[in-house]
Amino acid sequence: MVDAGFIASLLASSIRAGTPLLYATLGETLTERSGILNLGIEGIMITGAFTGFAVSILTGNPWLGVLFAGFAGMALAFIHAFFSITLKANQPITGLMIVLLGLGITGFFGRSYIGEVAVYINPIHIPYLSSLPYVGEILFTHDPLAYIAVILAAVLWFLLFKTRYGLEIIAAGENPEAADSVGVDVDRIRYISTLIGGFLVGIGGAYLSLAYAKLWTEGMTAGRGWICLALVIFSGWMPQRAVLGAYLFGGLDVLSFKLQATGVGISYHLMRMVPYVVTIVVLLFSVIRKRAAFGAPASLGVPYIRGRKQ
Amino acid sequence: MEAILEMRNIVKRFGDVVANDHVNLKVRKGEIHGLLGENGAGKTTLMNVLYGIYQPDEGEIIFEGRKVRFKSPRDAISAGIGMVHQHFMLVPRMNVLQNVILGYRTPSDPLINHKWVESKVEKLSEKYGIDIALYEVVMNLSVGEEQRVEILKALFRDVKLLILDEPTAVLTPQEVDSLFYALKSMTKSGLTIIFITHKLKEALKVTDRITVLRKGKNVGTVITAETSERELARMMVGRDVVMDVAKPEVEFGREVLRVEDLWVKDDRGGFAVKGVSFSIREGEIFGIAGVSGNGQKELEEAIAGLRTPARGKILLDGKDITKLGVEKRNEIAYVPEDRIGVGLAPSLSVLENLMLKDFKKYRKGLVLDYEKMEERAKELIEEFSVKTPSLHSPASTLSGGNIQRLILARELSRSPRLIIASQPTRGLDVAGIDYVRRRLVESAAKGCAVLLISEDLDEIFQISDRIAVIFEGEIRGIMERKEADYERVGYLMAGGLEVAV
Amino acid sequence: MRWNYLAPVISIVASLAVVGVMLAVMGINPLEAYIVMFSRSFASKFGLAELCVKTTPLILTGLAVAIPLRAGLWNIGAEGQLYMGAFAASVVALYINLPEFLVIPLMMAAGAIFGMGWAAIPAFLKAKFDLNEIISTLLLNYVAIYWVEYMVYGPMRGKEVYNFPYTDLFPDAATLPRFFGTRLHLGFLIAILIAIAIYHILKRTDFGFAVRVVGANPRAADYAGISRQKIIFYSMLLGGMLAGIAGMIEVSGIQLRLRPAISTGYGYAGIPVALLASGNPLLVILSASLFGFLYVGGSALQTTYSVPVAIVYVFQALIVLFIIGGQSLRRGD
Repeated sequence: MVDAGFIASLLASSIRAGTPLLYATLGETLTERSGILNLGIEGIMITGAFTGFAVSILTGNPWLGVLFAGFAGMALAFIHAFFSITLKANQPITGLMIVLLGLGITGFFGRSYIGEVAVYINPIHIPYLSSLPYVGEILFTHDPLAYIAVILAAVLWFLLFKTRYGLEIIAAGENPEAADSVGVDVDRIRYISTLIGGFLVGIGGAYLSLAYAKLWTEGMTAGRGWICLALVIFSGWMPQRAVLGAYLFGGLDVLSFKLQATGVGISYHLMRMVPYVVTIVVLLFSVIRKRAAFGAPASLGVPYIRGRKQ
Repeated sequence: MEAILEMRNIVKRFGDVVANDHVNLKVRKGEIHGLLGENGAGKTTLMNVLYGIYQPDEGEIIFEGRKVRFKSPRDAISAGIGMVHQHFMLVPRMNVLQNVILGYRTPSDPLINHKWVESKVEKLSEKYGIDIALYEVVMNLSVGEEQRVEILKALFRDVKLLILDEPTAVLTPQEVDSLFYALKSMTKSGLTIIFITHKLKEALKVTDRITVLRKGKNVGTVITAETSERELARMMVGRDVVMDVAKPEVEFGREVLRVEDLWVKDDRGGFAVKGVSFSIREGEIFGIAGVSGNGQKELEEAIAGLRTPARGKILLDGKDITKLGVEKRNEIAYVPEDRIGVGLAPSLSVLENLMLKDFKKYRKGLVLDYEKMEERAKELIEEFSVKTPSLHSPASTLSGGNIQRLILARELSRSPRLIIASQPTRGLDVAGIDYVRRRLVESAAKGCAVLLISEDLDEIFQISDRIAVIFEGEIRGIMERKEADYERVGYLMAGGLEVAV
Repeated sequence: MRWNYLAPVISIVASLAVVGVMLAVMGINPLEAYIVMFSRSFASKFGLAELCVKTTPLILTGLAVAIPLRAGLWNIGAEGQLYMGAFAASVVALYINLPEFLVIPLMMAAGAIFGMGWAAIPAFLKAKFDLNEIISTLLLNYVAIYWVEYMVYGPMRGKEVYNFPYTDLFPDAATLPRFFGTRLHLGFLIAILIAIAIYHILKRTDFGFAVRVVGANPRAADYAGISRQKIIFYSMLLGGMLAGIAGMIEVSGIQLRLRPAISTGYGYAGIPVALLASGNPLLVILSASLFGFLYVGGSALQTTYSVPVAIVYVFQALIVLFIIGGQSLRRGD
């Protein structure tokens, strides 16, 4: 029952299930690195999923769908950025409202698309490599977006840790006052990071409807947004670690289905609790071991007001 | 010598408070110019105006012969002005190199040209004698090293004028020496330095000229070589019109408060109070003078029960209260320095604020007896003449003087044995100041012990029976008021040491 | 002061306008739609009864958010606390043999205790480790919801439900009495009485006094010798208790059994309910009715224009955003 073939197909599906998580986690990592906590991922993802699906149907081009899903994510992220950065409002609450907004809007406009068929993004079997035993199936049978996600993680890593932009983003998230004191425009950096972050989260959503599930239903993100929030913490705000984390959590998702199918006696519903419980435990560790040592940007979620006495 | 910087008639207001009142400052090229004054004298505000953090309400700045206007630190930096803040502006999780080049474009921008940075830093190190490991994470550095990073940050941007805000506050004596050495060598290479401090000795040791600020105004500029500690202390502390409240002589009763070898940590975990001992008797006002930030806050919080001492004892009427919580120290009245942030719930009503500590006494069955509470509140408002539209108006609508009256009403009406009054008249108008001082004197006359903590020497001299000076967490001399004079106290406040008399 | 009354009105009007645009995009005349919403909620005894039915859990979840908020704490976990309360009440209803008159009180007690217990976890983590309560309460919602799903798909699945993930129907003694031949049930009255009780507790007891101080200025609470940790803990527990009771009322008054999705986001709707009422328990009744109206009106739109009920979420989100946006603008940083 559990043989090498099973494991290979499990790993391959883990990558597919993990890819939407990876996009969203990378997006949120960028946003949080700049000091903005966007809890709205769930809402942005579902908006991306719907927009991507709808645009793919309307234009017949799934790649346009992906692009517009990114724009839709960006639009919601802009609301969050405006409230968090310009109005300096409570970031967690604003983020939660972005979730409601996303779920509401897609539920509202999405009804008529349920059961429709869009043009999807299909896997490409890389010649020769994909026919390697096991490894071929695991690594070389995916769609382009899955590969792009990994490249993106590398790009983000490079941006954050090897360029001046990264330095400024990280400084804005760690100590905005220090960044400001040497002339870094903290607000601008936070806006840009939040918007690009929203773009990536939106693409994660589009992947879900156009490449992974290949359908559209209301609320189809089913809590994945919250998992990504945990993944950001899990990966210690490092894009390179997010890859592993996303595939791991993707695998957890796949496993709960597969185990159910094979009749192993672990409840699907109990399995679905695991990520949330894990997240709470991870969070708990992070507060007990103090933020600085653990890796959260020191000013995450704290509005920056110039000249405010500390 | 030519002036590199001239600030003319700078005025900066925050609401009703005038932080800089027509201040003039002229700094010559290549000198170390001291900016001396007590906390709240307006030194940092003036420098923040220069550095573009604040915009002046009036006045003009001339830098290198041209009139300038800096909208943000970025402008100031590009004009050639650098500032090392009192609280370092570093990102602890980044390494030294990253902190140095933050906000700077290296030749291969947006990539970071490490080689180029390394060679530039090396040249600077050679020129100014600042040595620092570029790839060490800032979190692991000592405070002195952090300061060197800050200075390096400024030098890296080729500044011509460097502002140092209280640079020695966090340093060990050895670090201070090496800092001074580095500063001297920087001026030899043509750099100009403004050195903000409230410590006389340092000002005398390292500067060429000194400008003294007091209460937002400038008192004058002197040449360091031609002045003395005594003169500077007099300029710094000054003398205001002494008001006519005076503490009558009374017989002191039993000892009420006794503090023995008290050690208290601040929020960062270092010792802010280091082995303080004193006692206060019935009817006595014990004044602690000192520049803010020398351990006063931690000392008063420890006595009030808001902070647990690390070592030592606090005795009230002979009873050890060192470990008791606030709610078990009902005999202590506390007028905190931060009235609105600590002493008040500004959005709640005057009534609720008056009852902040006593509401539990008004329990009637399951609920509180609001009628009785209102009755009592009315009496208090009457007795302490708190001017308020009604009992139910939010406390935040009261004026500063009335807020202090409200706090006094609550605290003094609880028939305390000990009153801690911290900066009790700061920011009040003359009538308010007079009222608060009278109240304290009256309470003492009734047999309370009063601990008065103040930066205002007039206040200390006016109503204290004995005067102590706190400096860097230590009590530097306790004297009878009769034996004390302004210069001696001012000298101790600025870190002077008493020679055995 | 005047702003406090104006802000909610402006927010509601602005939200109506935005949603109106969305309706227009779908080719629906917003004015007509709003008239449908109104007439369906107010023009018949069934409409009014439904309004009360939807308002009931919202009053309780609104309070569940409002009370901790008075102490400065965000309880985003009312949804999960509601599910846990419903679960506990269902266990009592289905598995415990009791004299009939004791069934309802015991269900309510069980719901209250489980709601409280579920809130105690984030409250403890907050008081002890200063763990952000917004995220912890939110994550626990999912755990609670999956817990209920697990129970109704597994151990608690009824014998007479074919393959549906339901428990069996409750015995009559475990259901709340209904009135006027509608779905209006005793729970509505209970919720209102609770709101009034909470109003008096917050206004008149020493606990209420302490909650106000902690919420207004935590440092002043320390200064006055009020134990901040204790107040934070108890206010959260009280909130969780009410959300748990909401869950009990939902299964005992409306669903008459435990099943998944017993709440259509009532716990989350508690946030705008509490914000609109600016934390005042009596005003919570009013703002809960407004959201009850949105729920009823939302389903009226669904039956008339087949507009998805999700539009209610949009309303909620917009109202909250407008309120906090207005607050920030007024703060004028």
